[in-house]
Amino acid sequence: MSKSHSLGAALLLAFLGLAACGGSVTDHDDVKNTSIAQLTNRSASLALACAGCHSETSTAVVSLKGYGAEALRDSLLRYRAETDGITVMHRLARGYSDDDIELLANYFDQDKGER
Amino acid sequence: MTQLDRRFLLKAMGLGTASLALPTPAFARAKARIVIIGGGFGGASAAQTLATVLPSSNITLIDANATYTACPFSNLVLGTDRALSAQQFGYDGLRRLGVTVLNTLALDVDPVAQTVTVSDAETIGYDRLILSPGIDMRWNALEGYDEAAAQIFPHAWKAGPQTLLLRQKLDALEDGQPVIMSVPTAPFRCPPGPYERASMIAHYLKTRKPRSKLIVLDAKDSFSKKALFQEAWDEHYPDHLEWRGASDDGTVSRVDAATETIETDFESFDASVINIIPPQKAGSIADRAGVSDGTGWCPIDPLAFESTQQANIHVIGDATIAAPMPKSAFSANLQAKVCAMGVARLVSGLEPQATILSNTCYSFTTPDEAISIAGVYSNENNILMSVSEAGGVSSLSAVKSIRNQEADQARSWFETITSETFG
Repeated sequence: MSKSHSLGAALLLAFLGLAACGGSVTDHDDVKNTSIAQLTNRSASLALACAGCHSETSTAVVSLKGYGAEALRDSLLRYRAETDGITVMHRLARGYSDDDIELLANYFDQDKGER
Repeated sequence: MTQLDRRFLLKAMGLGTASLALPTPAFARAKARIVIIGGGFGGASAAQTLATVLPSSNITLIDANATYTACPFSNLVLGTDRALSAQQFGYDGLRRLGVTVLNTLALDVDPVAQTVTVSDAETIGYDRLILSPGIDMRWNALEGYDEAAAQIFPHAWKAGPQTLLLRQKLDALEDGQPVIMSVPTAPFRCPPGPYERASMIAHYLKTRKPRSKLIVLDAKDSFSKKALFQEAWDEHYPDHLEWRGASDDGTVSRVDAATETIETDFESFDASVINIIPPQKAGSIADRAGVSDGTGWCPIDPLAFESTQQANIHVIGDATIAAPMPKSAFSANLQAKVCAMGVARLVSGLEPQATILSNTCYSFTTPDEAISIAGVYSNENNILMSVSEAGGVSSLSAVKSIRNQEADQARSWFETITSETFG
């Protein structure tokens, strides 16, 4: 690293430090950034794919409204496990890990989910 | 401090643009200016998502048309009594979310100054630009097929007036006269689209011009859901649809609008209805923004769909090189949402995160029967790849009720995705 680059990096760090300590990043900004981190977390980003077909009013494609986490988890795990299943949902469920199914089930939970 | 001031400060400190990619909490204080070009399934979905996760940002959507005409289901406008108006959506829903919608043509992009030119007098600055320009035709890539020829041989590969023109030509067809369709090599918008269209035109002929027949001239030997389509064609359209692949002289090499003829290597056809699906490329604004490459399409990093060629410009939808994801409305909508979340994080000093993406495409083989293809993808490590155990197509030899169910699901999907996209 050249001298000027290290100097630049040091200046940047100093600037960021100043910005953080000097009160120019307000509590409001912290709240906002926390909220953006949460709104775009893995659960929320996994759920984006589901929303292409499932809405609160969809019919031929089941609405996820009113389901609890347990029912959603069981349903997704069953789709994934049925090796002779031929529906679109069987084909999609095979692409999701246990962890991701858990995140999705909780995300869409009717009571405590984020959606 | 505005972002411009901040950029000036960093510049004064001797830091290159690479430093701007570092997590920078101070960035979040500025009202991020996000400009989106293209108001289809990609652009409108990006605007919706950003308005939700980053309501403090200043979002501008630019599209030349005040009404968007959707391609999915437009083959049913050709082959059934579905109205074109069922394909059309406006932008009032986006406006209600606070998105500024400009119905004007984006003329140019300056990736260095970070501006979009919308007229001689007006440019719009951006911190992040999202391009969702769809496709343009590669005029004359097929000899003789230019914009004027498209009035004689409609492509109908952008829904709207071209869809109606092709339908009018079908309506004017004399019973007993042939219909010809030409299909290019991949990549093109909607891989199974030509074969759904072939099915819908064959249905039209079977029910309205029973002595006529569709001949599909294909520059390929294999295509999306081929076995399923051919099973449906054998069952429903044995007398109304003939498909010829590349090894059976199916490649159209030249068209002549003046004489209304088209040629393969060994044969010449003239017909009153000729549908040419031409070779395609990313929408032309991608070239002016410097985000397309020698293929005519746009390479991207799939984590947040940022261009590999221009910083702070993201590209989504049909214009991208995003294989194994297909160029579909489902893909464009999902890529838009993933991109929007990535952009929200980037302008807030957070890194974009990997996720699981998917795609589902339904194709109608008759007005009440459909088949499907699905895929699941990971963008972990910034590489877009299929999750190997997942995805695939509908089963062959399924009972009619399965095909009916997938047709119902297709209609439900269209309702959901258009209301999610346009509000």
